[in-house]
Amino acid sequence: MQTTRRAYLPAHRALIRAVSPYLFVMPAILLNCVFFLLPCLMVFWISLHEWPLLGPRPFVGLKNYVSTLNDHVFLQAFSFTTRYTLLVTPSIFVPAILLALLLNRRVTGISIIRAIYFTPVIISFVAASLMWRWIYNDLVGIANYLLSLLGLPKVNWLGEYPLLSVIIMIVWKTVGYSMVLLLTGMQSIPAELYEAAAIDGAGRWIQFLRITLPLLRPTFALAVTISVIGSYLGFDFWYVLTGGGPEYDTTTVVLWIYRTAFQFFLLGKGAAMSVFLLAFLVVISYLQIRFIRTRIEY
Amino acid sequence: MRPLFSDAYGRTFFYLLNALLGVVFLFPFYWTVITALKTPDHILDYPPGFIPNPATLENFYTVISRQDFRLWYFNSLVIALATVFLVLLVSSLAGYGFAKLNLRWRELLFFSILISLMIPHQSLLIPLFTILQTFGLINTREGLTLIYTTFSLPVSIFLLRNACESIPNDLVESARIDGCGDLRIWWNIILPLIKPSLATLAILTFLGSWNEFLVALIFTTTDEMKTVPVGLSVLLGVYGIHWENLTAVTVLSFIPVFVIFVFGQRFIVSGLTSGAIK
Repeated sequence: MQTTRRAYLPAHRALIRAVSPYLFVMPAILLNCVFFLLPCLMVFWISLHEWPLLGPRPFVGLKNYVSTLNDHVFLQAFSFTTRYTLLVTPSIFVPAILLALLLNRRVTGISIIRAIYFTPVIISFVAASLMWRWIYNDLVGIANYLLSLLGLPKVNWLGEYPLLSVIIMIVWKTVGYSMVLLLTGMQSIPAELYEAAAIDGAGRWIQFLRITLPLLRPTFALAVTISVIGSYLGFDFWYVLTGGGPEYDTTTVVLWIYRTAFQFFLLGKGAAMSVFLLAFLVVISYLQIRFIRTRIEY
Repeated sequence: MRPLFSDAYGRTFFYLLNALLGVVFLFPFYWTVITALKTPDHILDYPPGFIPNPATLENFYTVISRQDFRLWYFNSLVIALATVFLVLLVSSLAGYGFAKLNLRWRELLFFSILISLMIPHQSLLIPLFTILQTFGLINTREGLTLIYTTFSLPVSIFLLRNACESIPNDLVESARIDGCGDLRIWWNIILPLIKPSLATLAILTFLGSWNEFLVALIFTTTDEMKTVPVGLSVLLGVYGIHWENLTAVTVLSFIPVFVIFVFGQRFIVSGLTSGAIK
């Protein structure tokens, strides 16, 4: 009896030893499998079926892909989202880099000043959109009142210039985030480089062009990647500010997927659109990561 | 590089410029708050008043007295706190496991979680809907909590794995020789040492969950399960031009966020950037 117990215990212990590491990572792996990896596979599966909310789900092959490519709203949404992303990215990054240059210093109150530019970042896009809907109100909105102080006529902001209105709001909302990222990058550039350059007689502008910009490139590329993907996938502010209108003018890809799947209940077609979106963004982020990884020499 | 505007005149200019820009950046907040303090008959004044006269808190009473709004607030709080708890638990266990324990296929398993950063989660909403339906989790706080937790795993495990790796191996080994099991090492040694990272993560997770809109919009189907952002979008239709009420709910939706910002600012800024630089 005694000997069997003794022989059993170490084996039991050894088993615990071997298994316990897996128990630590298991909750994460499990959640990731059910709510991330499984959906990644299922989106392809669903896209090959006609998939209403209730009822039979027949296999239809590539029909959903064909109907997506024939869906002129989807195509328009694709080109609109791309256009928006191409416009909003420089609109965020020119002021972000100027702000980062301005705030890259140690003076009294600097952390409060940085916090002020960062405040819009932490609120929700829905709240920000509501605030700006009120600012843009065409009858009594403060934006039009400020225009009238400049002697300009009232403007129907969200009706006539939805893209411009959204871009202004988004710059206000997100410039602080990009600014903080760039600031972190700038602060990691060794001060000696600037001192050496100054001794060699390089002026401020030359230092900026030859030191700051090249060494900031990885951070810059990263910040741009985050911003491009975020802009492409933006949903909340379109939903609240423009609702995709007027007509389908400001309907973005994600907004159209949402409407197709969860308002028209064409889940199969929505899945096919999702696959296009997924493929497109994976390619973009792959290209951008390769760009970031490219070594810099100095 | 010597900062711009660093002589005496430059300094004055620096502060003036920032004061001006600061006013521009904070103005939308000011405008929202004073609109919420105006009486309904002054909302449509033109030119609009810059100071509410008379000022009133009645709009706040009006929206707080809505039972649905109180429920949304409750839902958002419960979901955000539950998500914070789950994320801290799951990712500190996994972070310790990936950093210090003997796992076969460690990098492959880690990669299977990290890959989530490359995939736009917006493209997974349709299969997620089907999965939640299967488990009966549509229109539940649990469903939203589980999705938020899963979506924040890659960044949080990455962060905590790094934090755990900076703990010296000797410390873990000597505890093991003293007879501590892995679970006790995790609780007694690892968790106290990674407290700053846990605080950062808790704050970021809370903000992310509190502010999330699209997932909550799709996976809640009845009024009493909605969260604050979804509720705000509903009230936009309900209140129409009653901006005194709409701005009041907007202000109320900020409160937890601003409390966290004031007390945890250093965690937020360091966390957002460390989460981004992978």
